[in-house]
Amino acid sequence: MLKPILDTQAVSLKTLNTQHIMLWVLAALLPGVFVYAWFISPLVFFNIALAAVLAVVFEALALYWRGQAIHGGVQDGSIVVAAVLLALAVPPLLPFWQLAVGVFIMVMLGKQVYGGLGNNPFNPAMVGYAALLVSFPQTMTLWSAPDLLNQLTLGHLLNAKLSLDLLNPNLLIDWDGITRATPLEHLRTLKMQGLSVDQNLAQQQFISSGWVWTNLAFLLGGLLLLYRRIIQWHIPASVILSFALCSLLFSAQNVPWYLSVFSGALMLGAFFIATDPVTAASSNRGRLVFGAGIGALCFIIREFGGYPEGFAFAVLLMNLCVPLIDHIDMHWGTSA
Amino acid sequence: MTLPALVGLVVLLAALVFIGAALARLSRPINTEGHSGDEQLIEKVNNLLPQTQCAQCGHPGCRPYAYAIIKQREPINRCPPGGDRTIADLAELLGTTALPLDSSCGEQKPIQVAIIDESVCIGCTLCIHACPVDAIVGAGKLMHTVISDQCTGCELCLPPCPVDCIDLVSPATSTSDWQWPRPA
Amino acid sequence: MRVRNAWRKQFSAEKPRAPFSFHGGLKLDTSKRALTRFNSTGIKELPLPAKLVVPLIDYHKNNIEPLVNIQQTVSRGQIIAPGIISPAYGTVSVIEPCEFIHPGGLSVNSVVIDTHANNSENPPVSIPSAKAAQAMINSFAEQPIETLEQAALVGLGGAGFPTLHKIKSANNGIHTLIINAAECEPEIACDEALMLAEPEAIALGIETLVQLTQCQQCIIAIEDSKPLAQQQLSEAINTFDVNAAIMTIPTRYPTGAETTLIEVVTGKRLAYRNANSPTTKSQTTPSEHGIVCINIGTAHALWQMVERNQALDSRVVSLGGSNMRNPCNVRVRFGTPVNFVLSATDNTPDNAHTRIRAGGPLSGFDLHSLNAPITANTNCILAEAAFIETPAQPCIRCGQCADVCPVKLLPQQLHWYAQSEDHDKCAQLNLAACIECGCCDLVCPASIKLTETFRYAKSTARFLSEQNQKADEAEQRFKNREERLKQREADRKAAIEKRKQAVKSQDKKTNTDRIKAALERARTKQKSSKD
Repeated sequence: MLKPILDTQAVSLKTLNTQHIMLWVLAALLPGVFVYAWFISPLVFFNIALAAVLAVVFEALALYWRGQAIHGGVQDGSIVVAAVLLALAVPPLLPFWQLAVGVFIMVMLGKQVYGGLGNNPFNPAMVGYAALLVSFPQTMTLWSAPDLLNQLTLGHLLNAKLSLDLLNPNLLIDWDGITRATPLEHLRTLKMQGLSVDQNLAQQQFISSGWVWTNLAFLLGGLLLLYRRIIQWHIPASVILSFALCSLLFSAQNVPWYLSVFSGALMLGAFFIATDPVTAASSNRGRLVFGAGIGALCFIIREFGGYPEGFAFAVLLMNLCVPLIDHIDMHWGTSA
Repeated sequence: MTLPALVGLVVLLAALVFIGAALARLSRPINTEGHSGDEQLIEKVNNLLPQTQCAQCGHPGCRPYAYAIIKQREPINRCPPGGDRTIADLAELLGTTALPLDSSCGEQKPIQVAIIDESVCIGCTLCIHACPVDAIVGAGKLMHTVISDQCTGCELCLPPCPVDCIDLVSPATSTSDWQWPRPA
Repeated sequence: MRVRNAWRKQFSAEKPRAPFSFHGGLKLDTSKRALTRFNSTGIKELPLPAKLVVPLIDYHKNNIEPLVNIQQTVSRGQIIAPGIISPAYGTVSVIEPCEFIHPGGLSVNSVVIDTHANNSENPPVSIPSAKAAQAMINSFAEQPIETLEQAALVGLGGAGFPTLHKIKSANNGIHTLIINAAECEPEIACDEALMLAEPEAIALGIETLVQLTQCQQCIIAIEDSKPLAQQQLSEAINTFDVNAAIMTIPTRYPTGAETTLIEVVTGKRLAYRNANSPTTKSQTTPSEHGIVCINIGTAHALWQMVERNQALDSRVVSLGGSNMRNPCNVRVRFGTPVNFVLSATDNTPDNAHTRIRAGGPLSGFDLHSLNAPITANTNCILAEAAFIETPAQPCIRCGQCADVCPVKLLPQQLHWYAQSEDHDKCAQLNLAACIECGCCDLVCPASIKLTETFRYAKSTARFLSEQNQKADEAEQRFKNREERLKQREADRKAAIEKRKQAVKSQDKKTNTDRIKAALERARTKQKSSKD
């Protein structure tokens, strides 16, 4: 009987296993989560907890159905990371059952149908997000106004959130009074109406909305991941650079590029979503192309598309290109 | 019926016929009778066959079977020594689906070589004539022996032997052809 | 250890650093248990066991035929099979398959020698004066290079390639001779111990090699983690005025492997996946580039040949590992069974869970039997605790394996293709260039057994290509036979035809002849009756 050949125990080398990697990613998300909760809405904690618990339950269920080892499949923590990313991406006031639908789609159609961790071609969190965005466009673009939100009691908010009746037009009118678009959405509305944006006003709005701070906090977490060598610099750098370059050269809006880089979900996406190794290109050269594609697509969707934020679709579209990128990269320079 | 509806129907029917014909054409192996590439294709098929020359497929050797696959539409699953690997390779080459091995031809066995019990052999030369790959040496009234390196394990020497002195054995694992086990 | 750190500051700055680097690799904690006791014990000389087992196998793992018979007395250094010498004076007791150091625990035909009691001890290597040494080397180098055959020199780095063959295969001359003094794997310390114990013999062996190979430059590559050994060797080189330069190379696994060492020293990539065309194999042997890489242990053995005409019949073996009670470096005669080595150093494993391994922690494997004999390839014997296997998780495509691969392969893709038995794709991605260093296994967050899979795929691909070749030969013989049978059939038909023709023509002839004869007879009868 042949015994194991390679004895890693005889060599002391600190290597991270998948579980450690996921724990580090969760830890790196913390600053961003707290700043988000402070400036945008504390309801994000509720969303994160709900999404994480549901994701684990759905994942266990799917593994059970597939006849896989439940414990081994859940404990790597990858689904918790995906759930947290989804919870951070959706508006905090999203009714809980819609979030549950999103988590279900994320686990089942985003991950498990392909055979679980490592086999999914699309970023599961972004699959869930995109499904929610096309299914519930009204609530998925309903962002609360931070200042007004703080005046309401948490109980009031939870009550509204737990209501299954949020799509009730009466309720929506009520909410209109206390909700306000995100800066990106505001820009989009103005542009649709053919109005020009005053640069100073836009800048003020960007900064006062807290999105800039949230983005900075995610950037901090991303740098931690880079420092710990959990992720490589290629994807975040190329996402941010290509987005910045596009907005510098082609943006028709009066928002300086350094502000649009810190708006929306760009930092979260560049450091935490696009860097998902399973769905990204596998070589460094390929990662640069992959990231640049995401940055450019994200800009195009924001600038010309029908949605205020295009990161999810940019990621999904580039996920689609990954096999091609990998193939070309592997056979680079060959005639065949 | 109005004219546009008729046109639509005709176009639809034409498209159906075209697609059906195309699918029917594509489902066949890529070969055409009398095509100049046939010889090359036979050669390619022959290269994929294990060259055991065992005739279990019903053809007197590997090349005749290759010829039959291309020229007579013989199924590709009639080669027990090649087994599933050969069937898969053939299916890929010919653009057809891999079928399970036709059990009427025989079962896939591990690699074996013939060995002659030299104390029993009467030197009748029948096995020498039966061997398709000239792997048995000997002469009349003299003991025969199998060159085990050249034996393909086709078993064709077994039936002619009048004294049943030929056995098939698994070759001993030597250090030069030892393989690392497949990791679990 | 403190002493060594002091040396490091003082000396590593003097020697030129390696001008090149290699891709990937890992900085490992290279604790060498066998070396920590070196100061008190030196290299221990192991007594000669009563029985030596010499496997009859060459570098290519082919069996070779013995040149001796049972009950024959053999002297130390006598050739007992092509390329194999007897390690001691004794009698051949039996020639039979015996276990040897092999990952599959196979047996191979071996010569078993009962050693005689009055075997000569190994005298310590004597070091002559610089002038005398130079003269000895000169006279040795004047002899034809085939003299080396008697020395049975093989590489002592772990692969055991015949040194003479290595030198001779450099048809266009040897440009660079690299002396490999790098031991990048943890636990293996035999080369470092030898450099600390007998630097002069190594220096003289290197000078002999320089003269033998007529190389343009000779570089001794030592890692920066061995400042003391470097200092000792440097002094010896100065004393004997050896034409070689010491180069300090970074301590990064696997610098000691031939491919990576050559890249670090010369910048030449020999076994890489060609970045421009991965479908063509770019693997070439160092000799084709005029580079020869020789282990310092081999240089030491060469000096023994020069000095006292002693063939290579022993080597230094490191005994290490977490469960080795007395880690040390010992000089072991080839053919000594592993259990003798362990018992003679008071290292017999005391519980059944201890695994005894041959080779380093990364490149080695568990032994199936402790009766297996030490050979030139055995640089290290490890005793390790029982292995706790971590089950493999799914690949998350993180790409760390490709980042650390010292030969720039794509382990992730290779693993995928190797598992699905797609040997053509594996060949396209140049799996053959894999040096099985195990770096990818160490960094894989999903604990996937990459190296094991590659070893499997490599041996299977080799097996399949052999099968293919055999099939081609069988086909050729089948064709020849068909041709022959056809010819024979044609000959037979022709012969029948010929005979028919002959019979026909003969028949005609004879009929007329008979008639003529009958007429003749009738006439003569008539004549005689008339008369």
